Amino acid sequence: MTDDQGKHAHQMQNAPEPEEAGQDERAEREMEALRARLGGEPAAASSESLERRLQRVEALLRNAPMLAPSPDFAARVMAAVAAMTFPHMLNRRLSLSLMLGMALVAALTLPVLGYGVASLFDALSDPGALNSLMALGVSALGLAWGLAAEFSSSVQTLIHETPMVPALLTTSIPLAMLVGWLVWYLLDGPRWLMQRLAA
Amino acid sequence: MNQEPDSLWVEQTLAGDQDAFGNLVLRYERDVFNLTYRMLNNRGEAEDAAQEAFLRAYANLDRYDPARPFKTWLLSIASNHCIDRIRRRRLTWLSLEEPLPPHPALTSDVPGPEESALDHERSEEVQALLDELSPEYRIAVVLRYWYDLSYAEIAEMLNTTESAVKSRLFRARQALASRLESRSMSTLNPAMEGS
Repeated sequence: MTDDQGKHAHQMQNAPEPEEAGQDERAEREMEALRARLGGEPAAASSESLERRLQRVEALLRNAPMLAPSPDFAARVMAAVAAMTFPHMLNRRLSLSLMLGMALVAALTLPVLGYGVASLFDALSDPGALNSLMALGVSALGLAWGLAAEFSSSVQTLIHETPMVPALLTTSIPLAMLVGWLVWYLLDGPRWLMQRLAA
Repeated sequence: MNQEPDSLWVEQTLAGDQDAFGNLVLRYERDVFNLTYRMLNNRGEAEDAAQEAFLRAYANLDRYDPARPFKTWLLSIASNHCIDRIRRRRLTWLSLEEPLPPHPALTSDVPGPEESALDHERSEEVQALLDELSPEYRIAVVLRYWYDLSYAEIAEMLNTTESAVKSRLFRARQALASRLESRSMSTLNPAMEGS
């Protein structure tokens, strides 16, 4: 007998005697209800087996219905999916990339820095090496300057000889870029890009 | 709804088709919501949790293993989210030293037409019984009885062993049987005392 059953039996024993017939009937009805709930027969009221109670639990669980959400639930979920902004997803990717990048930089910094400092000290301690290094730097700068001057003169010659070519290029390139962007936008390019980045 | 396999919709979603994910939402909204409702016992909170489960699934779809059923994967996300929510809820209550929440019947939202089943006596009785179980036991019972999942599937979803699942289910059933009995007694006792 469980504690609750014991308490109940105790209450039943100590219950005041009903004085009127109506009360008798009511008490009897309640006893019947109790018996019905706990297994039917009077003797079974306090000795319902564990197995039987487990079966009742199983039956209750197996017959419980599946519940459905509000009719607009799916629409709300899809609105929330659409609102999962590009930055939100990009941030996750960026933060991961940033973390890996920083780890890589941290791992490479020390050896590269050490090698650089050692090379610098080596060059400074040898006047011949320092001189050749400076000569190399000056010749590299001269070469770059010469290339830039040559390119500039070529462009000037082209503009002089065929003025229509640069005029066409300066208008057609931005126009082509604008049209390309418009097509990409109309074909849902931003969403596609977001999905690709998210994946 | 058509009978396309989940894997196709998953692939299409990964290729950037949000409508394909919409099909998955329509297919599994009931399963996910039922689980979150059975766990949280509050309609509004259950819908929030179900939505969060879908969003997490969408954001992590690239981690989904197509060898597993999509439904199981989705339900495991919802299960873990519900357990987290219940833990957070408990922590909040403890930290605020608030009294225990009122009975779910008092906190649930205005019932919609689909809630007629919920109003059914049996459903309420089951929900009240479930609410007395710990989250770990409750989720095992829900997955077993509403979704007919095997012990192995439940164990995989809850990241535990089959024997642990069997043990949880056995103890949960015992606890439910005991609660059921004490509820039966308590519904009669006031009448007895009043006579």
